[in-house]
Amino acid sequence: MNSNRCEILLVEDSSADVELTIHALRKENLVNKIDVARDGEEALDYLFFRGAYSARPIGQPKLILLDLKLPKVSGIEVLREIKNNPTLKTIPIVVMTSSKEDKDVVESYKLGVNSYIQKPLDFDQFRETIRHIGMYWLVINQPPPRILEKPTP
Amino acid sequence: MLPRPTTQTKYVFVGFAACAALVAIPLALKTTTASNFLPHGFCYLWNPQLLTLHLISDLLIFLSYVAIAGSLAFLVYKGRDHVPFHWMFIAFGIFIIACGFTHLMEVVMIWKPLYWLAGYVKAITAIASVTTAIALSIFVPKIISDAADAASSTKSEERFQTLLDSAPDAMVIVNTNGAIVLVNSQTEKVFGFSKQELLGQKIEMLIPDDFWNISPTAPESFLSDPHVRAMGAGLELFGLRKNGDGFPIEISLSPLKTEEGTLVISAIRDITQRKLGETKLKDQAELLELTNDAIFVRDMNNVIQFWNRGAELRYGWSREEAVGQTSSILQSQFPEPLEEIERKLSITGHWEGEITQTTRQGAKVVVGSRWTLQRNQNGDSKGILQFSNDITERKRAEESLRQSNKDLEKRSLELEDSNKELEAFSYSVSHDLRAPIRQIQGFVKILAEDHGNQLDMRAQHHLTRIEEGATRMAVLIDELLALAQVGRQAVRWQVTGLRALIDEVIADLRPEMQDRNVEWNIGNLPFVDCDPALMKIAIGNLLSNALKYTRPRAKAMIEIGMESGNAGGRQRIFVRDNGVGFNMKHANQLFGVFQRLHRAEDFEGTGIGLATLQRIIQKHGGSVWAYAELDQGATFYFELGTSKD
Repeated sequence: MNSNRCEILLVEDSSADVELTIHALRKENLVNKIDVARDGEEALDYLFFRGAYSARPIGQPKLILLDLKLPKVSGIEVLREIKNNPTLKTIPIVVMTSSKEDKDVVESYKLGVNSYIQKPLDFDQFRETIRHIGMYWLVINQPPPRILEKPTP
Repeated sequence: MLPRPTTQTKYVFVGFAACAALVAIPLALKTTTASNFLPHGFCYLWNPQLLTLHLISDLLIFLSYVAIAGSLAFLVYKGRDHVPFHWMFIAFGIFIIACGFTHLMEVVMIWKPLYWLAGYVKAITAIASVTTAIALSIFVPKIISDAADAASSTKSEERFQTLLDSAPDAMVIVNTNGAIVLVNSQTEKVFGFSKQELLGQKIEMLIPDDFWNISPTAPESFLSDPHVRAMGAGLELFGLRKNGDGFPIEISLSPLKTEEGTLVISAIRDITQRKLGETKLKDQAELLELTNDAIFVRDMNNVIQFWNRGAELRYGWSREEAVGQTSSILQSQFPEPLEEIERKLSITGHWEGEITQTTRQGAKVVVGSRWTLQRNQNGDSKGILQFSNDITERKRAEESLRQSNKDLEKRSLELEDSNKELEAFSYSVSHDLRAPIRQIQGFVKILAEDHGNQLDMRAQHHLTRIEEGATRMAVLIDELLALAQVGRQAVRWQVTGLRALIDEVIADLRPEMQDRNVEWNIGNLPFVDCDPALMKIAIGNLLSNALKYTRPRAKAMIEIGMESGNAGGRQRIFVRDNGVGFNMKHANQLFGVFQRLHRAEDFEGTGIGLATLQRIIQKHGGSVWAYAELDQGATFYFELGTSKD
């Protein structure tokens, strides 16, 4: 396993949630490298090798954990960009959000989200859910072929 | 004209009788008292037969002459207005009577030798004869020409009569004394009298006396100063038929100068039918006055011909003021070009629409106007009937309705906006308020797990308190969100079996029943019209409450059933428990948000559950209430409306 390869891109504006998520994933030893984008724009820059990320090593994460309510560019918009891009659309995306608004769920699935998880209120359940996600998408699930080309927007 | 033959004959006989008496009386005296000496006997050769012949002949001649003279006198008296040259008849009469007396003297002289008297009588007779003869010789040519005139005048009289008969009115010609001298056949028809019955009679027979008295145009005064008076210019009069019926007439009088003096021609028209028509018309016009709708008629030059009371009220001009003016006084504003209206009117004869008009006072009125084109017998347009009712108020109401609709629309948009805001708010609540709670919970957990061994008991207790607070906050947020969601969610009506719904709810509540002895008594439950998702939340809250407040009981008994509906026929569902109940004096707080009747230490809860239940039942057009007694259990009832309510 290449320890330099990013396994999860966590798109989350809340530093607390970033910390709690990483804490949960690390505790189970499911992941080595997690990259974090703090808003939608940063996430897209990351994926399209733009701005601060223009020089990052080639390759895409195995999984994107995406919050919906994000500064600058919303999670839904990020989701749309990714799923409409021929290069990026194979990356599995799990929406993890506090929102259980029907319209968000429906819109996310219409855009082709791979999973929609409501962040459990209870921390124990939250931790458990994170564990399940890591286990399923990084271990159980057969991932798509690695993406070695840069996407064109 | 002449008296009837019967009357004439009667007079002749009376004359004869009178004369016979005049002669017979002295004769009778003579035969009884005088001597047998006959002074005139010599002349008659003392021959009794000859004497008797002369006697009888003279006597008869005398009687006949007297009778003839009497007849002539009567004739002249009676027909003095019509018989020409009546002086000639008088001369003849005197001449004949004189002759008669000469013959009488012949008779007298048989017995008495009154030769002087007889001579005087003869002399008088001679004077009368000579006078008559001279007069005749002078006037014969005139008599002849008058006779010719009379003949032609008879002809023209006939023509006149024919002319009269062809007149549509009853024509009655009277002389200055008011006597009828000529009538036409129409008069007979109208009045029912024959010509013979009328001629010579007074005009009052046809037009009763009181008329002449009250009428300023009375013929009596008119007759003395006749001049042409047109039909209808007189007063309305009444005629009298032979059968005694009075009837309305119209009469016109005109003078006719004739040689026999001035005559008055009166044309009399029976106006019974017209009067009936006028009465009917008047009645109809009165009907038009009863309505408050404005009705007026204008001719094709827009000149107002008729103007009812409604029009007076509506527009402010009285009938007298309006009639004769043009309808432009109303300053009508039409909904389409006037030419277009007139075109439609001429084709269909009708038009209707809303017109804005201006009253005399300058106020604007909106009327719903219906126009009808009036045509004459030839089909030419004659006038326009305008029937208008005031819809100003209605228009105002419509306008205000439109305004309030607009307001409502605006408010509904505002409501939509505020709903969106609420949505955004609840989104924000669900997302933004949850995260900090998880954060608190998460780090408390990490602290306890990773660093618990460094904390003393007291610090660990504080951590527990922090976690409890966070958890409670989370529950409150969840339930508030549920309540808000219920509030803005539309009811999706569906026929739903309550029993199945309750079974689902009880299954969901199984975790809460762990280690508890709970007896469910579920009666017959109906199928109801409701939103099953909302109803499941409502019933869930009810049953969860029942479970919660029976927790102190060794055996919880929860009964669910249906009571026969109230007068409205609605089904009433109840949930009864043997729990701790509550004091009814607090019942008004039962369904309030965050209102609780128990302490959180005894029974956990947020005070939102029953508020949500009530909101859901109300959204179904129903109601919910409860009866309880402290420590004696509680019963909750609810009724539902239907989608048709």
